[in-house]
Amino acid sequence: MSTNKIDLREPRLLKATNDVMKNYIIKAVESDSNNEAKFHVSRKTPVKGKAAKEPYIVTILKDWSQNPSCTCPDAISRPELNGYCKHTIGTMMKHEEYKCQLMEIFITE
Amino acid sequence: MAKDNNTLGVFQRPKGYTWLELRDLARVTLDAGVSALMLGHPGVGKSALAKTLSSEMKIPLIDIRLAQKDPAEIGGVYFPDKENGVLKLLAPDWVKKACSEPCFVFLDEINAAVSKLHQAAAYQIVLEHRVGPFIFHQKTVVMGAGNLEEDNAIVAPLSSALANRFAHFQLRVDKKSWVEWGLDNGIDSRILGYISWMGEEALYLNSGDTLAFPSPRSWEMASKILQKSPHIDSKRIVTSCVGEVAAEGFASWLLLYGKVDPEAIVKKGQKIDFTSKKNNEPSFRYAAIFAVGSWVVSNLDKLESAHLENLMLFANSKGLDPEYQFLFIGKLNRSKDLIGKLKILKSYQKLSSELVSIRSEFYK
Repeated sequence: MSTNKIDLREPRLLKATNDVMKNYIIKAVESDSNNEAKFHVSRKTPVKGKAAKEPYIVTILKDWSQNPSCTCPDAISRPELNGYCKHTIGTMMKHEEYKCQLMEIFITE
Repeated sequence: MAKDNNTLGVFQRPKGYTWLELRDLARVTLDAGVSALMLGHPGVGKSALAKTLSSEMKIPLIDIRLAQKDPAEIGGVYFPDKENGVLKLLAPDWVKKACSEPCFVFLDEINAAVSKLHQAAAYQIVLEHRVGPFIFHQKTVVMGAGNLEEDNAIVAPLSSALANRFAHFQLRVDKKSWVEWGLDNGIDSRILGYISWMGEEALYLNSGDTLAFPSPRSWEMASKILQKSPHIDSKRIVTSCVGEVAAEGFASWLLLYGKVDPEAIVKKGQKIDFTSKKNNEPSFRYAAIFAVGSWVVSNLDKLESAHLENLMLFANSKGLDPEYQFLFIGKLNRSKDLIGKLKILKSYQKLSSELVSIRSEFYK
């Protein structure tokens, strides 16, 4: 049985991901590993009180051997997301080569 | 049936819960030490829910049907202790078990024709978690289940005093829950495919004018017989379990299902053109997806790396629309190992990208 219960069509997540795609800067940064792609994700216009914690770091494994991760509080405090917070989803949406990894959260039985 | 103001004969909720929803709700309720009462049509999975929960909670299931129990089987029996000149109460074995270790006490058919004596015993079991002087282990949980009056089942009003001691839930028939349960419990894939395709109406329909009618339980019975004797006349067997109307529909589905050779598709890369006139019915596409998906998940040990590419060839069959492709990948997703192997294939990555692009239209 699938344990992944995220539904990207859920309005809240939909709105949040849309927000990341429109209002965040997603910048590729260097990684220590050839198999890793790292991105810094931060708001274009910093929000008072939150900016200090950004950028969040999104890590995607190029070979799709593991789920992505993000340093944002949502991804850390909600294990059921399996790393698929709005920042990782937005980052994958913006990068064609990683879009396929979103299949993880689309497939349901 | 006449009802006084102090009894609850019919339990009606605006909406019931699915089996999967109830699994979580009942678990939380029982973990909190509150007894739960499940009401629902006959055969919709109340007993299966008790079995699943007890298994998840790793405690033995004690299935008690009050109406079939002699009072002594519930409350115990007195025997003479000649040495001390007194009568001593001997506990029934199930009570002794529920007292000595954590157990899942399941009071099935609790609103069947039970006597006042039975109800009095039920009060104690439900509210005080004890039978007479025998107190249950503090981790023993109690769940009751009963049929709905509207189903012509034998239902007696449950006194409001007893009813008020349960957290109440109504189980509704739900295709998705049953198919998921069926996949985990070895239900015949042809039946699962048919129910997935046809939905709740095929899963449960009790018009009250036939003895055999489709329900999760009767489909499970049909599945058992079909699996035990695969060469038997399936229509007759299915009719005997779920009735003629449901069996007719299932027989038509079997004709479609039988047109698909999953082994040839997976091992030899056999193709299906879903745009051709004979194959373009949605029901056939669905049957093909279910047949191939079920075969793969049941034969994982026979899969070689070349077969994985054949799976992708099938997923990219001419005329297989994205909604069916999603469905097919969903079937394969029953095996995380398989999906893990597919992920490294360029063809799977490409298909995934395409499907995600379609779905991500929601974001624009």
